[in-house]
Amino acid sequence: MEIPILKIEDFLIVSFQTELSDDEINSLREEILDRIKATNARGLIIDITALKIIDSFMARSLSSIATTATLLGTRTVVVGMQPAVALTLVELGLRIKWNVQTALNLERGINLLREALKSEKDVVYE
Amino acid sequence: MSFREAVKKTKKQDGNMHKLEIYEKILDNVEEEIMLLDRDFHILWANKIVFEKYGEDIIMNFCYKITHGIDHICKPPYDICPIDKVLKTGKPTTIQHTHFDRKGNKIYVEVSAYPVYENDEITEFIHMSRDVTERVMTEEKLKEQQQAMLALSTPVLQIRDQILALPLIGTIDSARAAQIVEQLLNSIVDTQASVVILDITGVPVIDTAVANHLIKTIQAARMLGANTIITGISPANAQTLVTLGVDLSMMTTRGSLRSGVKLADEMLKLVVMEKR
Amino acid sequence: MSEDTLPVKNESDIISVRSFGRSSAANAGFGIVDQCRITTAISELARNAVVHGRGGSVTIKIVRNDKKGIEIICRDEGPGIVNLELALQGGYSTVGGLGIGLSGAKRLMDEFQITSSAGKGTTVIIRKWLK
Repeated sequence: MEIPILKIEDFLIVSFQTELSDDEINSLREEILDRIKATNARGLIIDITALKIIDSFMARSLSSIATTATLLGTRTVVVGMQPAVALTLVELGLRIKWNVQTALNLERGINLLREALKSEKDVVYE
Repeated sequence: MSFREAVKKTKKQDGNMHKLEIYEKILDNVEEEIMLLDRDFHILWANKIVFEKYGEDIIMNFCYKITHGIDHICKPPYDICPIDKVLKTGKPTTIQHTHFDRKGNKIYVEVSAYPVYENDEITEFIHMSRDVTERVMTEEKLKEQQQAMLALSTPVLQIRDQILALPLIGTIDSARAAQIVEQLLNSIVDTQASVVILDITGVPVIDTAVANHLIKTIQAARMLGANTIITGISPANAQTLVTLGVDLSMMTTRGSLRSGVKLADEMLKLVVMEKR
Repeated sequence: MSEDTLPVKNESDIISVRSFGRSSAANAGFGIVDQCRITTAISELARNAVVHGRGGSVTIKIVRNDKKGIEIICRDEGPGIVNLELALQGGYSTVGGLGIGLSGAKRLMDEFQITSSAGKGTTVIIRKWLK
Protein backbone atom coordinates (compact mmCIF):
# COMPACT_ATOMS: atom_id res chain seq x y z
CA MET A 1 0.00 0.00 0.00
CA GLU A 2 1.58 3.19 -1.20
CA ILE A 3 1.39 6.07 1.19
CA PRO A 4 2.30 9.31 -0.55
CA ILE A 5 4.78 11.68 1.04
CA LEU A 6 4.07 15.17 -0.18
CA LYS A 7 6.36 18.13 -0.09
CA ILE A 8 4.77 21.52 0.50
CA GLU A 9 7.23 24.40 0.69
CA ASP A 10 9.85 23.10 3.10
CA PHE A 11 7.59 20.66 4.88
CA LEU A 12 6.90 17.00 4.29
CA ILE A 13 3.36 15.76 4.79
CA VAL A 14 2.49 12.11 5.26
CA SER A 15 -1.18 11.11 5.37
CA PHE A 16 -2.14 7.75 6.81
CA GLN A 17 -5.14 6.63 4.80
CA THR A 18 -5.59 3.02 5.74
CA GLU A 19 -4.54 0.61 8.42
CA LEU A 20 -0.99 -0.50 8.02
CA SER A 21 0.62 -3.76 8.94
CA ASP A 22 3.70 -3.64 11.14
CA ASP A 23 5.96 -4.23 8.15
CA GLU A 24 4.32 -1.43 6.21
CA ILE A 25 4.78 0.93 9.14
CA ASN A 26 8.44 0.03 9.36
CA SER A 27 9.09 0.60 5.67
CA LEU A 28 7.15 3.84 5.75
CA ARG A 29 9.38 4.96 8.57
CA GLU A 30 12.46 4.25 6.49
CA GLU A 31 10.98 6.07 3.53
CA ILE A 32 10.17 9.15 5.55
CA LEU A 33 13.64 9.33 6.98
CA ASP A 34 15.16 8.90 3.53
CA ARG A 35 13.00 11.71 2.16
CA ILE A 36 14.01 13.95 5.03
CA LYS A 37 17.65 13.41 4.29
CA ALA A 38 17.08 13.88 0.58
CA THR A 39 15.04 17.07 0.81
CA ASN A 40 16.38 18.62 3.99
CA ALA A 41 12.84 19.31 4.98
CA ARG A 42 12.56 21.53 8.03
CA GLY A 43 9.22 20.15 9.15
CA LEU A 44 7.27 16.91 9.05
CA ILE A 45 3.53 16.63 9.44
CA ILE A 46 2.02 13.23 10.03
CA ASP A 47 -1.70 13.31 9.34
CA ILE A 48 -3.59 10.58 11.19
CA THR A 49 -7.11 11.91 10.59
CA ALA A 50 -8.11 8.60 8.99
CA LEU A 51 -6.72 6.35 11.70
CA LYS A 52 -9.49 4.79 13.75
CA ILE A 53 -7.13 2.94 16.00
CA ILE A 54 -3.68 3.50 17.41
CA ASP A 55 -2.38 0.61 19.47
CA SER A 56 0.85 0.57 21.45
CA PHE A 57 2.89 -0.52 18.43
CA MET A 58 1.58 2.27 16.22
CA ALA A 59 2.06 4.76 19.05
CA ARG A 60 5.67 3.67 19.48
CA SER A 61 6.24 3.84 15.73
CA LEU A 62 4.83 7.34 15.39
CA SER A 63 6.84 8.43 18.38
CA SER A 64 10.01 6.94 16.98
CA ILE A 65 9.49 8.56 13.57
CA ALA A 66 8.99 11.92 15.27
CA THR A 67 12.01 11.57 17.52
CA THR A 68 14.31 10.40 14.75
CA ALA A 69 13.13 13.14 12.43
CA THR A 70 13.77 15.71 15.13
CA LEU A 71 17.27 14.36 15.62
CA LEU A 72 17.82 14.88 11.93
CA GLY A 73 16.79 18.50 12.40
CA THR A 74 13.21 18.17 11.22
CA ARG A 75 10.47 19.34 13.57
CA THR A 76 7.54 16.93 13.66
CA VAL A 77 3.85 17.36 14.39
CA VAL A 78 1.12 14.72 14.40
CA VAL A 79 -2.27 16.10 13.37
CA GLY A 80 -5.86 14.98 13.20
CA MET A 81 -6.12 12.48 16.02
CA GLN A 82 -9.72 11.31 16.46
CA PRO A 83 -11.25 11.92 19.93
CA ALA A 84 -11.91 8.22 20.51
CA VAL A 85 -8.33 7.42 19.60
CA ALA A 86 -6.96 10.19 21.84
CA LEU A 87 -8.95 8.91 24.79
CA THR A 88 -7.93 5.29 24.19
CA LEU A 89 -4.29 6.24 23.83
CA VAL A 90 -4.36 8.09 27.12
CA GLU A 91 -6.04 5.15 28.78
CA LEU A 92 -3.50 2.72 27.35
CA GLY A 93 -1.15 4.26 29.78
CA LEU A 94 1.84 6.45 30.22
CA ARG A 95 4.26 3.64 29.53
CA ILE A 96 3.82 4.33 25.88
CA LYS A 97 6.46 6.84 25.02
CA TRP A 98 4.51 9.64 23.47
CA ASN A 99 6.67 12.70 23.23
CA VAL A 100 5.06 13.87 20.07
CA GLN A 101 3.78 17.35 19.41
CA THR A 102 0.18 17.25 18.31
CA ALA A 103 -2.16 19.67 16.61
CA LEU A 104 -5.83 19.60 15.76
CA ASN A 105 -5.54 19.60 11.98
CA LEU A 106 -3.23 20.23 9.03
CA GLU A 107 -3.62 24.00 9.12
CA ARG A 108 -2.84 24.24 12.82
CA GLY A 109 0.05 21.85 12.36
CA ILE A 110 1.61 23.99 9.68
CA ASN A 111 1.15 27.15 11.77
CA LEU A 112 2.71 25.45 14.75
CA LEU A 113 5.75 24.38 12.74
CA ARG A 114 6.18 27.85 11.24
CA GLU A 115 6.17 29.48 14.67
CA ALA A 116 8.47 26.89 16.16
CA LEU A 117 10.95 27.24 13.33
CA LYS A 118 10.86 31.02 13.55
CA SER A 119 11.64 31.06 17.26
CA GLU A 120 14.19 28.29 16.96
CA LYS A 121 16.78 30.83 16.06
CA ASP A 122 16.43 32.47 19.45
CA VAL A 123 15.67 29.51 21.70
CA VAL A 124 18.12 26.82 22.71
CA TYR A 125 16.75 23.47 21.56
CA GLU A 126 15.80 21.30 24.52
CA MET B 1 -70.52 -25.20 32.79
CA SER B 2 -69.17 -21.91 34.09
CA PHE B 3 -65.57 -21.55 35.15
CA ARG B 4 -66.55 -21.21 38.77
CA GLU B 5 -68.64 -24.32 38.73
CA ALA B 6 -65.81 -26.24 37.13
CA VAL B 7 -63.39 -25.21 39.83
CA LYS B 8 -65.91 -26.14 42.54
CA LYS B 9 -66.42 -29.50 40.93
CA THR B 10 -62.68 -30.18 40.72
CA LYS B 11 -62.35 -29.47 44.38
CA LYS B 12 -65.03 -32.00 45.22
CA GLN B 13 -63.93 -34.82 42.98
CA ASP B 14 -60.82 -35.79 41.14
CA GLY B 15 -62.22 -34.68 37.79
CA ASN B 16 -59.44 -34.83 35.25
CA MET B 17 -61.71 -33.51 32.52
CA HIS B 18 -62.43 -30.44 34.61
CA LYS B 19 -58.76 -30.00 35.28
CA LEU B 20 -58.08 -30.11 31.59
CA GLU B 21 -60.79 -27.52 30.95
CA ILE B 22 -59.20 -25.29 33.54
CA TYR B 23 -55.72 -25.67 32.15
CA GLU B 24 -56.90 -24.94 28.65
CA LYS B 25 -58.84 -21.95 29.82
CA ILE B 26 -55.74 -20.53 31.46
CA LEU B 27 -53.36 -21.30 28.64
CA ASP B 28 -55.70 -20.00 25.95
CA ASN B 29 -56.32 -16.72 27.69
CA VAL B 30 -52.83 -15.55 28.57
CA GLU B 31 -50.95 -13.27 26.24
CA GLU B 32 -47.81 -15.38 26.25
CA GLU B 33 -47.19 -17.72 23.33
CA ILE B 34 -46.62 -21.16 24.81
CA MET B 35 -45.40 -24.22 22.96
CA LEU B 36 -44.34 -27.72 23.94
CA LEU B 37 -41.37 -28.91 21.87
CA ASP B 38 -39.63 -32.24 21.57
CA ARG B 39 -35.85 -32.58 21.61
CA ASP B 40 -35.74 -32.14 17.85
CA PHE B 41 -37.51 -28.79 17.96
CA HIS B 42 -40.87 -30.11 16.68
CA ILE B 43 -43.93 -28.38 18.05
CA LEU B 44 -45.98 -30.98 19.93
CA TRP B 45 -48.58 -28.59 21.30
CA ALA B 46 -49.29 -24.85 21.29
CA ASN B 47 -51.78 -22.55 23.02
CA LYS B 48 -54.51 -20.67 21.18
CA ILE B 49 -52.62 -17.46 20.64
CA VAL B 50 -49.90 -19.30 18.72
CA PHE B 51 -52.46 -20.70 16.29
CA GLU B 52 -54.03 -17.30 15.93
CA LYS B 53 -50.69 -15.75 15.13
CA TYR B 54 -49.06 -18.34 12.92
CA GLY B 55 -51.95 -20.25 11.38
CA GLU B 56 -53.39 -23.71 11.78
CA ASP B 57 -50.55 -25.77 10.32
CA ILE B 58 -48.13 -25.79 13.23
CA ILE B 59 -48.04 -29.13 14.96
CA MET B 60 -44.97 -31.24 14.18
CA ASN B 61 -43.36 -28.35 12.34
CA PHE B 62 -40.03 -26.93 13.52
CA CYS B 63 -40.38 -24.09 16.02
CA TYR B 64 -37.80 -21.99 14.18
CA LYS B 65 -39.61 -22.43 10.91
CA ILE B 66 -42.88 -21.25 12.42
CA THR B 67 -41.63 -18.36 14.54
CA HIS B 68 -38.73 -17.10 12.46
CA GLY B 69 -39.34 -18.55 9.01
CA ILE B 70 -35.84 -20.05 8.87
CA ASP B 71 -34.56 -23.56 8.26
CA HIS B 72 -32.13 -23.90 11.13
CA ILE B 73 -32.15 -23.25 14.84
CA CYS B 74 -31.94 -19.60 15.78
CA LYS B 75 -28.39 -18.32 15.88
CA PRO B 76 -26.54 -15.09 15.11
CA PRO B 77 -26.87 -12.86 13.15
CA TYR B 78 -30.45 -13.77 14.01
CA ASP B 79 -31.66 -14.35 17.53
CA ILE B 80 -30.06 -16.91 19.78
CA CYS B 81 -31.83 -20.19 20.57
CA PRO B 82 -32.65 -20.53 24.27
CA ILE B 83 -33.30 -24.27 23.98
CA ASP B 84 -29.71 -24.84 23.01
CA LYS B 85 -28.67 -23.25 26.28
CA VAL B 86 -31.19 -25.27 28.27
CA LEU B 87 -29.76 -28.45 26.76
CA LYS B 88 -26.29 -27.41 27.82
CA THR B 89 -27.13 -26.21 31.31
CA GLY B 90 -30.19 -28.27 32.18
CA LYS B 91 -31.80 -25.15 33.62
CA PRO B 92 -34.48 -22.73 32.45
CA THR B 93 -33.19 -19.79 30.48
CA THR B 94 -34.54 -16.47 29.21
CA ILE B 95 -33.21 -14.58 26.22
CA GLN B 96 -34.31 -11.41 24.48
CA HIS B 97 -35.11 -11.65 20.79
CA THR B 98 -35.59 -8.84 18.29
CA HIS B 99 -38.33 -9.42 15.73
CA PHE B 100 -39.77 -7.09 13.12
CA ASP B 101 -43.41 -6.52 12.31
CA ARG B 102 -44.73 -6.10 8.79
CA LYS B 103 -43.86 -2.41 8.79
CA GLY B 104 -40.30 -3.11 9.83
CA ASN B 105 -40.74 -1.81 13.36
CA LYS B 106 -38.74 -3.52 16.08
CA ILE B 107 -40.61 -5.86 18.39
CA TYR B 108 -38.74 -7.06 21.45
CA VAL B 109 -39.70 -10.52 22.58
CA GLU B 110 -38.56 -12.24 25.74
CA VAL B 111 -38.25 -15.97 25.16
CA SER B 112 -38.06 -18.44 28.03
CA ALA B 113 -37.32 -22.11 27.65
CA TYR B 114 -37.98 -24.67 30.38
CA PRO B 115 -36.82 -28.29 30.41
CA VAL B 116 -39.30 -31.07 31.09
CA TYR B 117 -37.64 -33.96 32.90
CA GLU B 118 -38.65 -37.60 32.92
CA ASN B 119 -36.41 -39.87 34.98
CA ASP B 120 -33.62 -37.28 35.06
CA GLU B 121 -33.60 -36.91 31.29
CA ILE B 122 -34.93 -33.97 29.33
CA THR B 123 -37.74 -35.23 27.11
CA GLU B 124 -39.42 -32.01 26.07
CA PHE B 125 -39.14 -28.24 26.32
CA ILE B 126 -41.64 -25.55 27.12
CA HIS B 127 -41.10 -22.50 24.93
CA MET B 128 -42.75 -19.36 26.19
CA SER B 129 -42.51 -15.90 24.69
CA ARG B 130 -43.90 -12.53 25.68
CA ASP B 131 -43.87 -9.15 24.05
CA VAL B 132 -41.66 -6.78 26.04
CA THR B 133 -41.40 -4.03 23.45
CA GLU B 134 -42.97 -1.46 25.70
CA ARG B 135 -40.70 -2.27 28.61
CA VAL B 136 -37.56 -2.22 26.49
CA MET B 137 -38.56 1.03 24.78
CA THR B 138 -39.16 2.61 28.16
CA GLU B 139 -35.77 1.44 29.39
CA GLU B 140 -34.08 2.79 26.29
CA LYS B 141 -35.88 6.08 26.58
CA LEU B 142 -34.89 6.38 30.22
CA LYS B 143 -31.29 5.76 29.28
CA GLU B 144 -31.47 8.44 26.60
CA GLN B 145 -32.92 10.89 29.06
CA GLN B 146 -30.22 10.12 31.57
CA GLN B 147 -27.58 10.75 28.92
CA ALA B 148 -29.25 14.00 27.95
CA MET B 149 -29.38 15.06 31.58
CA LEU B 150 -25.73 14.25 32.05
CA ALA B 151 -24.89 16.29 28.99
CA LEU B 152 -26.97 19.21 30.20
CA SER B 153 -25.35 19.18 33.59
CA THR B 154 -22.00 19.64 31.94
CA PRO B 155 -22.41 22.43 29.44
CA VAL B 156 -19.39 23.23 27.33
CA LEU B 157 -19.29 26.97 26.76
CA GLN B 158 -17.46 28.65 23.97
CA ILE B 159 -16.36 31.91 25.51
CA ARG B 160 -14.02 33.11 22.78
CA ASP B 161 -13.09 32.09 19.31
CA GLN B 162 -10.74 29.36 20.44
CA ILE B 163 -11.48 29.06 24.13
CA LEU B 164 -13.86 26.60 25.73
CA ALA B 165 -14.95 26.75 29.36
CA LEU B 166 -16.33 23.78 31.23
CA PRO B 167 -17.68 24.58 34.71
CA LEU B 168 -18.03 21.31 36.60
CA ILE B 169 -20.59 21.13 39.36
CA GLY B 170 -21.28 18.38 41.80
CA THR B 171 -19.68 15.03 42.37
CA ILE B 172 -17.97 13.35 39.48
CA ASP B 173 -18.24 9.59 39.29
CA SER B 174 -16.63 7.57 36.51
CA ALA B 175 -19.74 7.53 34.35
CA ARG B 176 -19.97 11.28 34.48
CA ALA B 177 -16.24 11.73 34.02
CA ALA B 178 -16.32 9.54 30.91
CA GLN B 179 -19.20 11.54 29.50
CA ILE B 180 -17.48 14.85 30.31
CA VAL B 181 -14.21 14.02 28.59
CA GLU B 182 -15.97 12.64 25.51
CA GLN B 183 -18.15 15.71 25.22
CA LEU B 184 -15.16 17.98 25.68
CA LEU B 185 -13.05 16.27 23.02
CA ASN B 186 -15.88 16.42 20.51
CA SER B 187 -16.36 20.11 21.32
CA ILE B 188 -12.67 20.79 20.76
CA VAL B 189 -12.93 19.25 17.31
CA ASP B 190 -16.20 21.02 16.50
CA THR B 191 -15.10 24.48 17.62
CA GLN B 192 -11.39 24.08 16.84
CA ALA B 193 -10.58 25.32 20.31
CA SER B 194 -6.96 25.60 21.44
CA VAL B 195 -7.56 26.31 25.11
CA VAL B 196 -9.91 24.61 27.52
CA ILE B 197 -10.69 25.99 30.96
CA LEU B 198 -11.94 23.37 33.39
CA ASP B 199 -13.45 25.08 36.39
CA ILE B 200 -13.86 22.85 39.40
CA THR B 201 -15.06 25.46 41.90
CA GLY B 202 -18.31 23.55 42.15
CA VAL B 203 -16.78 20.15 42.76
CA PRO B 204 -16.79 19.52 46.50
CA VAL B 205 -14.54 16.50 46.73
CA ILE B 206 -11.42 15.76 44.76
CA ASP B 207 -10.07 12.31 45.40
CA THR B 208 -7.53 10.24 43.47
CA ALA B 209 -10.18 9.09 41.05
CA VAL B 210 -11.30 12.60 40.17
CA ALA B 211 -7.71 13.80 39.99
CA ASN B 212 -6.92 10.99 37.56
CA HIS B 213 -9.96 11.87 35.48
CA LEU B 214 -8.70 15.46 35.30
CA ILE B 215 -5.24 14.35 34.23
CA LYS B 216 -6.74 12.04 31.63
CA THR B 217 -8.82 14.91 30.28
CA ILE B 218 -5.78 17.18 30.10
CA GLN B 219 -3.74 14.56 28.25
CA ALA B 220 -6.48 13.69 25.81
CA ALA B 221 -7.13 17.37 25.06
CA ARG B 222 -3.44 17.83 24.37
CA MET B 223 -3.58 15.05 21.79
CA LEU B 224 -6.01 17.30 19.98
CA GLY B 225 -3.66 20.25 20.27
CA ALA B 226 -5.52 21.98 23.09
CA ASN B 227 -4.07 23.25 26.34
CA THR B 228 -6.07 22.90 29.51
CA ILE B 229 -6.21 25.27 32.45
CA ILE B 230 -7.73 24.02 35.69
CA THR B 231 -9.35 26.74 37.77
CA GLY B 232 -11.11 26.87 41.11
CA ILE B 233 -9.17 24.37 43.18
CA SER B 234 -10.08 25.12 46.78
CA PRO B 235 -7.32 25.22 49.42
CA ALA B 236 -8.69 22.01 50.91
CA ASN B 237 -8.67 20.25 47.56
CA ALA B 238 -5.22 21.58 46.81
CA GLN B 239 -4.03 20.03 50.06
CA THR B 240 -5.65 16.73 49.12
CA LEU B 241 -4.01 16.70 45.71
CA VAL B 242 -0.58 17.32 47.19
CA THR B 243 -1.09 14.62 49.83
CA LEU B 244 -2.28 12.13 47.26
CA GLY B 245 0.94 12.64 45.36
CA VAL B 246 -0.86 13.47 42.16
CA ASP B 247 1.42 14.44 39.31
CA LEU B 248 0.80 18.16 39.33
CA SER B 249 3.33 18.92 36.62
CA MET B 250 0.57 17.90 34.29
CA MET B 251 -1.67 20.72 35.40
CA THR B 252 -1.73 24.41 34.60
CA THR B 253 -3.87 26.03 37.25
CA ARG B 254 -5.33 29.37 38.17
CA GLY B 255 -7.35 30.39 41.21
CA SER B 256 -10.49 31.58 39.49
CA LEU B 257 -12.31 31.17 36.22
CA ARG B 258 -11.58 34.82 35.47
CA SER B 259 -7.83 34.45 35.86
CA GLY B 260 -8.05 31.30 33.81
CA VAL B 261 -9.67 33.23 30.98
CA LYS B 262 -6.97 35.87 31.27
CA LEU B 263 -4.27 33.25 30.91
CA ALA B 264 -6.09 31.69 27.98
CA ASP B 265 -6.22 35.08 26.26
CA GLU B 266 -2.50 35.52 26.77
CA MET B 267 -1.80 32.07 25.37
CA LEU B 268 -3.74 32.93 22.24
CA LYS B 269 -2.27 36.41 21.98
CA LEU B 270 1.19 34.96 21.76
CA VAL B 271 0.07 33.02 18.75
CA VAL B 272 -1.58 36.05 17.17
CA MET B 273 1.46 38.25 17.76
CA GLU B 274 3.75 35.82 16.04
CA LYS B 275 1.62 35.95 12.94
CA ARG B 276 2.13 39.69 12.61
CA MET C 1 -24.27 -16.08 22.53
CA SER C 2 -22.71 -15.37 19.20
CA GLU C 3 -19.19 -16.65 18.88
CA ASP C 4 -16.54 -16.53 16.16
CA THR C 5 -12.95 -17.66 16.15
CA LEU C 6 -10.28 -16.26 13.87
CA PRO C 7 -6.68 -17.36 13.49
CA VAL C 8 -3.90 -14.91 14.22
CA LYS C 9 -0.84 -16.31 12.58
CA ASN C 10 0.64 -13.30 10.85
CA GLU C 11 0.46 -9.55 10.55
CA SER C 12 -2.44 -9.30 8.16
CA ASP C 13 -4.43 -11.46 10.58
CA ILE C 14 -3.98 -8.73 13.18
CA ILE C 15 -5.66 -6.27 10.84
CA SER C 16 -8.51 -8.68 10.04
CA VAL C 17 -9.21 -9.53 13.63
CA ARG C 18 -9.21 -5.83 14.50
CA SER C 19 -11.88 -4.97 11.98
CA PHE C 20 -13.93 -8.00 12.95
CA GLY C 21 -13.56 -6.94 16.55
CA ARG C 22 -14.77 -3.46 15.74
CA SER C 23 -17.88 -4.64 13.94
CA SER C 24 -18.62 -7.12 16.72
CA ALA C 25 -18.31 -4.35 19.28
CA ALA C 26 -20.66 -2.21 17.21
CA ASN C 27 -23.14 -5.09 16.92
CA ALA C 28 -22.96 -5.66 20.63
CA GLY C 29 -24.16 -2.08 21.07
CA PHE C 30 -21.01 -0.26 22.14
CA GLY C 31 -20.48 3.40 21.27
CA ILE C 32 -17.60 4.75 19.22
CA VAL C 33 -15.18 5.27 22.07
CA ASP C 34 -15.77 1.84 23.55
CA GLN C 35 -15.43 0.31 20.08
CA CYS C 36 -12.03 1.96 19.90
CA ARG C 37 -11.06 0.63 23.32
CA ILE C 38 -12.17 -2.89 22.49
CA THR C 39 -10.50 -2.91 19.07
CA THR C 40 -7.26 -1.59 20.54
CA ALA C 41 -7.29 -4.22 23.31
CA ILE C 42 -7.85 -6.94 20.69
CA SER C 43 -4.98 -5.55 18.65
CA GLU C 44 -2.65 -5.70 21.63
CA LEU C 45 -3.51 -9.31 22.39
CA ALA C 46 -3.40 -10.40 18.78
CA ARG C 47 -0.02 -8.80 18.27
CA ASN C 48 1.36 -10.54 21.36
CA ALA C 49 0.10 -13.85 20.00
CA VAL C 50 1.78 -13.28 16.65
CA VAL C 51 5.02 -11.75 17.85
CA HIS C 52 5.63 -13.66 21.08
CA GLY C 53 3.24 -16.58 20.95
CA ARG C 54 4.11 -18.05 17.56
CA GLY C 55 0.59 -17.47 16.37
CA GLY C 56 -2.76 -18.45 17.86
CA SER C 57 -6.45 -17.62 17.67
CA VAL C 58 -8.89 -14.97 18.82
CA THR C 59 -12.46 -15.84 19.78
CA ILE C 60 -14.97 -13.01 19.95
CA LYS C 61 -18.29 -13.58 21.75
CA ILE C 62 -21.19 -11.18 21.91
CA VAL C 63 -22.85 -11.85 25.25
CA ARG C 64 -26.61 -11.30 25.52
CA ASN C 65 -27.80 -12.78 28.80
CA ASP C 66 -28.75 -10.79 31.85
CA LYS C 67 -25.40 -9.13 31.33
CA LYS C 68 -24.78 -7.72 27.86
CA GLY C 69 -21.39 -7.07 26.39
CA ILE C 70 -18.44 -8.63 24.62
CA GLU C 71 -15.90 -11.30 25.52
CA ILE C 72 -12.63 -11.94 23.72
CA ILE C 73 -10.41 -14.95 24.26
CA CYS C 74 -6.92 -14.92 22.80
CA ARG C 75 -5.02 -18.18 22.82
CA ASP C 76 -1.56 -19.02 21.67
CA GLU C 77 0.67 -22.05 21.98
CA GLY C 78 3.88 -20.18 22.30
CA PRO C 79 6.56 -20.42 24.93
CA GLY C 80 4.31 -18.97 27.63
CA ILE C 81 5.08 -16.19 30.06
CA VAL C 82 7.35 -17.21 32.88
CA ASN C 83 6.76 -14.31 35.21
CA LEU C 84 3.16 -13.15 34.83
CA GLU C 85 3.34 -10.57 37.54
CA LEU C 86 6.34 -8.94 35.97
CA ALA C 87 4.69 -8.98 32.58
CA LEU C 88 1.55 -7.33 33.86
CA GLN C 89 3.55 -4.54 35.43
CA GLY C 90 4.99 -3.92 32.02
CA GLY C 91 8.25 -5.43 33.11
CA TYR C 92 8.83 -6.96 29.74
CA SER C 93 8.59 -3.63 28.04
CA THR C 94 12.04 -4.04 26.62
CA VAL C 95 11.05 -7.19 24.77
CA GLY C 96 8.98 -5.54 22.11
CA GLY C 97 6.04 -4.55 24.22
CA LEU C 98 4.59 -7.78 25.62
CA GLY C 99 4.01 -6.19 28.98
CA ILE C 100 2.73 -2.94 27.58
CA GLY C 101 0.23 -4.79 25.43
CA LEU C 102 -1.11 -6.86 28.31
CA SER C 103 -1.34 -4.05 30.83
CA GLY C 104 -2.80 -1.81 28.15
CA ALA C 105 -5.51 -4.33 27.28
CA LYS C 106 -6.24 -4.73 30.98
CA ARG C 107 -6.69 -1.01 31.42
CA LEU C 108 -9.04 -0.67 28.50
CA MET C 109 -11.43 -3.47 29.47
CA ASP C 110 -13.66 -4.24 32.46
CA GLU C 111 -12.40 -7.78 33.09
CA PHE C 112 -9.03 -9.36 32.41
CA GLN C 113 -7.89 -12.94 33.07
CA ILE C 114 -4.66 -14.54 32.01
CA THR C 115 -3.30 -18.05 32.29
CA SER C 116 0.14 -18.88 31.06
CA SER C 117 2.94 -21.24 31.90
CA ALA C 118 6.33 -21.96 30.45
CA GLY C 119 6.06 -24.16 27.41
CA LYS C 120 2.27 -24.31 27.52
CA GLY C 121 1.21 -21.13 25.80
CA THR C 122 -0.95 -18.27 26.96
CA THR C 123 -4.69 -17.63 27.17
CA VAL C 124 -6.05 -14.16 27.83
CA ILE C 125 -9.75 -13.46 28.40
CA ILE C 126 -11.01 -9.88 28.35
CA ARG C 127 -14.56 -8.60 28.74
CA LYS C 128 -16.40 -5.33 28.50
CA TRP C 129 -20.00 -4.74 29.56
CA LEU C 130 -22.58 -2.30 28.29
CA LYS C 131 -23.60 0.25 30.87
